[in-house]
Amino acid sequence: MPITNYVLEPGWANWIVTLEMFIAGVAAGIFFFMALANIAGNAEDRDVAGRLGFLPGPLVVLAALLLTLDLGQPLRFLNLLFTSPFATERSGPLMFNPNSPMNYGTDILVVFGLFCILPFFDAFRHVGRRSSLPETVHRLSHNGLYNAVGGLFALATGAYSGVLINTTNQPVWADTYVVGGLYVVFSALSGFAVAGIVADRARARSTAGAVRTGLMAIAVVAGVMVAIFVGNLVALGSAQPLIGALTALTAPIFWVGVVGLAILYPIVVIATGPRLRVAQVSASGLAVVGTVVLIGVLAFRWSLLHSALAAVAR
Amino acid sequence: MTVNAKGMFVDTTLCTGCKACQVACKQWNELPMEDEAAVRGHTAFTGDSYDNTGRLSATNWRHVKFVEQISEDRADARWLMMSDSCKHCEQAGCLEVCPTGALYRTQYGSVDIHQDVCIGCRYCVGACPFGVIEYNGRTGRVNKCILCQDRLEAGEGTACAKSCPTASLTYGKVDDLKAIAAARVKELHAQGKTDAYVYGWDLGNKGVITQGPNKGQAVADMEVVGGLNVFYLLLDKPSVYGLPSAPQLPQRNMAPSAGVALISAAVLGVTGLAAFRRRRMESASAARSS
Ligand code: SF4
Ligand code: SF4
Ligand code: SF4
Repeated sequence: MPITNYVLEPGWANWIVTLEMFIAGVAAGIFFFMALANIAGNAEDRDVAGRLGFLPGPLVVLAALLLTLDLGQPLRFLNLLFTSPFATERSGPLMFNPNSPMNYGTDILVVFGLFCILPFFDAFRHVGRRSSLPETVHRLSHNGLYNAVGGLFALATGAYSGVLINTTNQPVWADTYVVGGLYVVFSALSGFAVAGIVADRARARSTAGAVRTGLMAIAVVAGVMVAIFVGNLVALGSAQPLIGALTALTAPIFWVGVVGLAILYPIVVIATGPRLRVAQVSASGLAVVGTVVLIGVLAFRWSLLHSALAAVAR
Repeated sequence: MTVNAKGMFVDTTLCTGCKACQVACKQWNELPMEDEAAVRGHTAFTGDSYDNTGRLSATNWRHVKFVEQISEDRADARWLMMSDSCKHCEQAGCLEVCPTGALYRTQYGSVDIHQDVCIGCRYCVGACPFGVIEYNGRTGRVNKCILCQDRLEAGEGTACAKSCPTASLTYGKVDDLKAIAAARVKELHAQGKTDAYVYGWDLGNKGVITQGPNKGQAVADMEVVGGLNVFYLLLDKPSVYGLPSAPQLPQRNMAPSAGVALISAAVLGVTGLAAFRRRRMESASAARSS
């Protein structure tokens, strides 16, 4: 049953929250790519993954800063992690409400942030800076198990804000079960987009080949997920704010940004480009594709958050 | 249900729309006038009805709704009035998702807010199925009716119920209030007002709407979200009063959504690994052919 419009909009449809979700998603997606490259890639892939290590950590910090900016007072953030002495009904030093994805998300973000530390320091080595850090840092940040576990936390980071907005009573957001899935897929898409830009800059032709295949495949998965999501909303009669309100910004941004730039553009450009043979990869093309896809993923965050606002008529 | 829960029974048939309750709540809780700059886009006064504030908000914890039902030929008319507030739900969506423990269940079964703990994340705002709790731009925290917690601790009833001159609002033990509500519905049905039913608890009443656009439609008592400690006697469909007919708890979506996310993540993992594997095979065949 669709959500009836008696709810208030929580005020999340603003640029701070949009950017916070976008940046956290990009950080998670980059780490996801790094994990795959370290687990299944060749030496060049691992070097690109090493260079990418500069990004997730600072992006997570930036996302946390945006979150605290949205809350208004930085120290309030701590009440999400530790039980406030004034919350007398709660026991134990750590704050955790099993029904609140915000608690899961905060904890996941903290653990994921910790996983980003080693690759950040290892990245200096990959750009040719002498690093006085022990060899263990390098070995661990490329270790398969480290990357597998870190990759899982990256995927959880990518998914959690989608599960969070799914777990409300807001129209569109709470009308289906697929928003968490959508969020993680778009997070991975943005990670591959950034990997494409970096592989391009590093003239890593072999890695660019893997990025192209991955980017196209994930764009197809994103297209399927979006089709399921929209089909679900249409069946419930609540798709209008997202796809039909063409005079409001939400629907045009959804069609142009999400469907056009994030999904169709990479599929068409990569499919119609030169056949995927490593020697034929055009590295410079991938930087453009990556940038356009990132804009599309930003449009995804924006239009999803604003779809509920468009539906709540007060 | 909370043992010995306290609450209010709102008999909408007795409300005259005098708004004494609204004023009492404002006065007792020292609530300021609505501030457009602080509370996004809400006008201070509607100016289009006797309903002056339009809805509940962070600074209007009680709101008297005026529902004007006038037929096109103006031969049939009635005003439905309802004094609304937080329902102090037995299963409260706001409390269920609060990630800091700011929202809590009091010893009276009501839902109160530790203002010192609230971080202003607004999760509760999007989770309340009734659109009650709201972000207060002045304080950076959320506000709603707190069932006059300070008065209850001092052994007093709620300020709004105390000020109601028609007993449309009755404060007391929820069990006692249910008995009052059941008797009142029977009394109204005996008078031919078969529209009367209870919203919040299922006390077994059934009826038929006798007036207005929904005339002839069946109505029946309904228990929602585990029961409402502030509950209503209504004369028309819940939606007519701006109440949802099937309010739901936000966490119903959490496990399925996490499940779909998990499946999506697995698909991504396989897709990503396949991309590297395919490239490796292509590299190998390119090396062989060169
Ligand atoms: S009516 Fe809304 S704000 Fe009040 S207790 Fe229920 S869920 Fe919470
Ligand atoms: S805004 Fe305050 S009361 Fe509401 S969910 Fe967040 S911390 Fe809890
Ligand atoms: S119970 Fe108290 S706080 Fe709630 S509406 Fe009545 S007067 Fe206001």
